[in-house]
Order: sequence, then structure tokens, then C-alpha cells
Amino acid sequence: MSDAPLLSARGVSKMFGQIRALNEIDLDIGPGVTGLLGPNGSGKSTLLKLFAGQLIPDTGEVRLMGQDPFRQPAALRHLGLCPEQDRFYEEISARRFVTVLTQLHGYDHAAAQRMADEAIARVGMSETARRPLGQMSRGMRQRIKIAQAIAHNPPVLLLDEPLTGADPVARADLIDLVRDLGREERAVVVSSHVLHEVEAMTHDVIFIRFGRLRAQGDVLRLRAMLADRPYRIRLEVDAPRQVAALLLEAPYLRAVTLLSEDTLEITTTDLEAAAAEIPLRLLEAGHALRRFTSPDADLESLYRYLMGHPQAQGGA
Amino acid sequence: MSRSLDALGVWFGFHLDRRMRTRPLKLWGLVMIGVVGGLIWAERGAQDTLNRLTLLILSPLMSLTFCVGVVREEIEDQTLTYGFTRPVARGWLYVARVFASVAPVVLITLPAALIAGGRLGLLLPTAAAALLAALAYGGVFALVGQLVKWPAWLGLIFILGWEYWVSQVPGFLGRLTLLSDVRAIADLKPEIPGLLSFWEAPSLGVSALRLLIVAVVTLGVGARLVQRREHALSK
Repeated sequence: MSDAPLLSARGVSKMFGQIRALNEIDLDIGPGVTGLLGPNGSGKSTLLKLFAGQLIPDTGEVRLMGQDPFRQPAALRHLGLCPEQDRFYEEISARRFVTVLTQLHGYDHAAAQRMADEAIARVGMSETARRPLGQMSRGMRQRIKIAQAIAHNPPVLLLDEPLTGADPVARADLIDLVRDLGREERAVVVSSHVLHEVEAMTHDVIFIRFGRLRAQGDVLRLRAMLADRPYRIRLEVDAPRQVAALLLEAPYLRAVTLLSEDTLEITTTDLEAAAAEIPLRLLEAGHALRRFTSPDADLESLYRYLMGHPQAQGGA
Repeated sequence: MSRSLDALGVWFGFHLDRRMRTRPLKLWGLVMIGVVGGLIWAERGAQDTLNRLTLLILSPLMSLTFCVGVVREEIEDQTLTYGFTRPVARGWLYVARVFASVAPVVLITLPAALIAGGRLGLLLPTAAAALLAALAYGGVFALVGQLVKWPAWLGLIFILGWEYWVSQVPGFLGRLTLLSDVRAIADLKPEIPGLLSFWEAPSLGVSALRLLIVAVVTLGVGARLVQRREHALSK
């Protein structure tokens, strides 16, 4: 596969009347799973619709495998889209629905049916696929939406809120499926509000707010770039006072707070160094380290810093 | 081109299948059976009345019912995304959708018109009139459905207020209607007795060609509009 991005946007802006939905977006998306994050109305869906050839940018250009998805419909053979809305041709069976949509990619009926059956099996819906879509639960319909997106084996997948309506078991299955799809050298873009689900799928994220790109990249790297926001690390140890005294001299340490009889919270600007050294120091000193967690190093904290605090400038 | 035609066939078959299951179609089918049955039962001379009712009133009304919402329905049902994100020019999908909406009109009006056409010599022209009328009206109403906000009302006024009455007017004005061509093909003279002596039917070939041109042009313009417009669904 070439190094060219599977999806790219250059200087893309989009207005709806007086509202600027996207503002000068520049980004490239390559293989793997990428989480597209932002609050409601931030421009996530508009970006997906631009990539899916449903909208035309007012300025700039979007490219799907190097082609304009709106003016060159042939480019859409590379795309699988799982739309957000829970709407279908209700009276049609799931199998026929997926088969017909696969046929529109140029496959004859027999090939399309085989591919549809494989996709339906992959989302775990083989047994109920002959049922009309109108008689299926929201979670089942969600799986069928994913099946129609992956049936023709596209290198680019856009999944808009793919886990909506799925029960916990189905969610876990779908998260595994998304991860697997990302490992197959596809670009899988997942737009979601549910951070922990995105975190379970990927560490590569794009943050959009007010139509602007706030940050793009690996969660931990982005977090490390926020130098003005030190990390808190919680240590569950046998003797917190002695451990605190032991760590006070460490150069990466900013503050130590005793939280309880067995928990200590330290503040550091260098999570990597702290994570590498603290367990070793404690081991050498003969202390038992039962738990090492950082409430500031996950996707949720990064989201809070980038999106919740307007002063945080995390462009990457 | 061949791939586009294949896609057109697939999308046409899919939407025809869906259309055949809809309530409006079943309702129109029952109306037509009732009308045909009633008139045949009443008297043999009713054939002409049935033919007029089928081709001059019911065919345009059915075309309006089925074709005016080909794009709008998919936007309202939020299903547009599924077809329009495939590697097929959206215009072809639009044409397929219009054909799938025209086909039931032909399926219902053709048998009725053939029964009513009666005379052997009129069977072919009656069938041609039923087919071309459905195509031309289908193209027009599908296009109007894209362009105006209340297409169904406009369509009703067009059929009952303009087409039916003006098509009986002799001369240039009457020629401005599609129905004057349908009348010419199926040999249906004006219903207003005073106008009968002035009636001068256009030639069958010209009328058939005019209806065909209207169908092709309106389908082409409609397809081009679909091709160039943004069709994203709002949440």
C-alpha cells in the first residue's frame, strides 16, 4: 500500500446558512482505527458526510483514496459507511438489503449474496438475517448497518456512532470487530460520544470543536504535549508516608499528597519517567506497590482538557 | 455505462419490489378493479368511459401519487444515504427509482386500458398511450417533486385544473398539455360536446414522440439535479 493517506482534507470549510460547521480543517487519515471525537454540533458528522460524498466543501478539498468523493462517484467503491440514523427499508429482509447494496458496487447477484452472507456472519447475524429489518431490535439493526458497510470489503470505513443501541455483549463484540477491521490495513474512522468505547478501540484520535480541528494523534502523545497540565499518579502502597519521603527527591516530582492510609497521590510533569522509575525505586526499597494509576493520562482527561477548557490549545 | 445500467437494473428491481408491497398501490389496484368491474357490469358501452377514466384521470393521478416523492420519500425516511454512498452516479439511481414508480402505474392502467380499448385496432395505441402517459407524467412529477415545496397540490391542480380541461381546447393551447397527446394516441375525443366539432387530433407519431421527449427531458433534468445537489440527511 502506498504512503498516500486514505482520507485527506485540505483547508476544508463548510457553512450551513450562517453557521460555520467546519473551519479550515486539514487532516490525513491512514490505516488503523481513528476515533473522531467532539461534542454535539462540533462538525463530526459534517466531516464524515464530506468524506462520504454527501456534501461539497465550500472551500478546500476532501479526498477519498486521492479522488473527490462527490464529483467522482467511482471513488465510493473504496468506502463503507455506517450512518448514524436508525432508518432502513423496513419491509426488506436484512439479507436482501445487504445483498442489493453490495450489488451496487458492481458485483453480480451470486457474488453479492455470498459477500453479504459473510458480512452478516461477521457481525453475528446469520440466524436472523432473513427477518424483515422492521422486525429487528435496534442492536440487531446496528449490526446490519455495519454489515452493509463492510460487505464489499472497502479500504475505508466511516462508522458514525456504531455502538448505539447495542447491548453490552454486542458492544464488546462490535468493539472487537472494529479493532479487527483496523488491523486489516483499513482506515476505520469511528465517530462517537462514548469515550471509553473509543478508548477500547483505538488510541488514535481526532478532536473537533466548533468546527475546528483541536488535535490529532495518539492519546498519550497528545497528553504529553499539554505541558501546563501535570499528571496525577495514584499509588496504592503498604507505607505511604515512607514512600512519600522516598520519592520527594525525584526530579520529575512536583507534589505529593497523602490521600488515605494506603494511597498516595503524586503530581508530575513527566509521566514516562515516573512510570519507569517509581516501581523500581519502591522495589529496591522493599515496598509493595499494589496499584499504579493515572486519572490524567486517559482519553477522558485529554478530552476534558482539550474540549472542556477553552483556554487549552492542544493543536497537534 | 454497462455498470451504470446494471446498477439501474438492481435499484429498479429493489424499489419495484418495495413499491409492490405498499398500501397506495394496493389501494389503487382495488380502485381500478372496482371501476373496471362496475363499468363492465353496468353496460358494454361503458368501455369508452372506462378508457377515458383510466388514461385521462387515473393514470396521471397515479403517476402523481407514486412519482412525486421519489427523492423526498428517501429524505424523509432517511434511507437516502444507503444508495447515494455507492459508486454509482446518483442520477442513475434517480432514474431507476422513477422507473420503479412508473412501472406499477403501467401495471395497473395497462390491463384496464386494454380491456376498455375494446376494438382490436385500438389495442396497440391504447397500450402505447398508457405506457407513454405513465412515463411522461412520471418524469414531470418526479422533477416537480424536487423543485417545489408542495408538489402534490400543484400536481393535482395541474391534472384536474389544467391538463384535463385544456387538453380538450382545440389549437395551440390544447397542444400545451400532455393529455392532448394521450388523447391523440388512444383516439379519445373531447368530452365537452361543443368542442367535438373543432377537434383535430395531432398525428399519432408526433404525439408519441412528444410524450417520449417530455419523459426523456424531465428524467434527464431530474437526474442532473440529483447529481449536482447535496443530499445529506440532517439528524
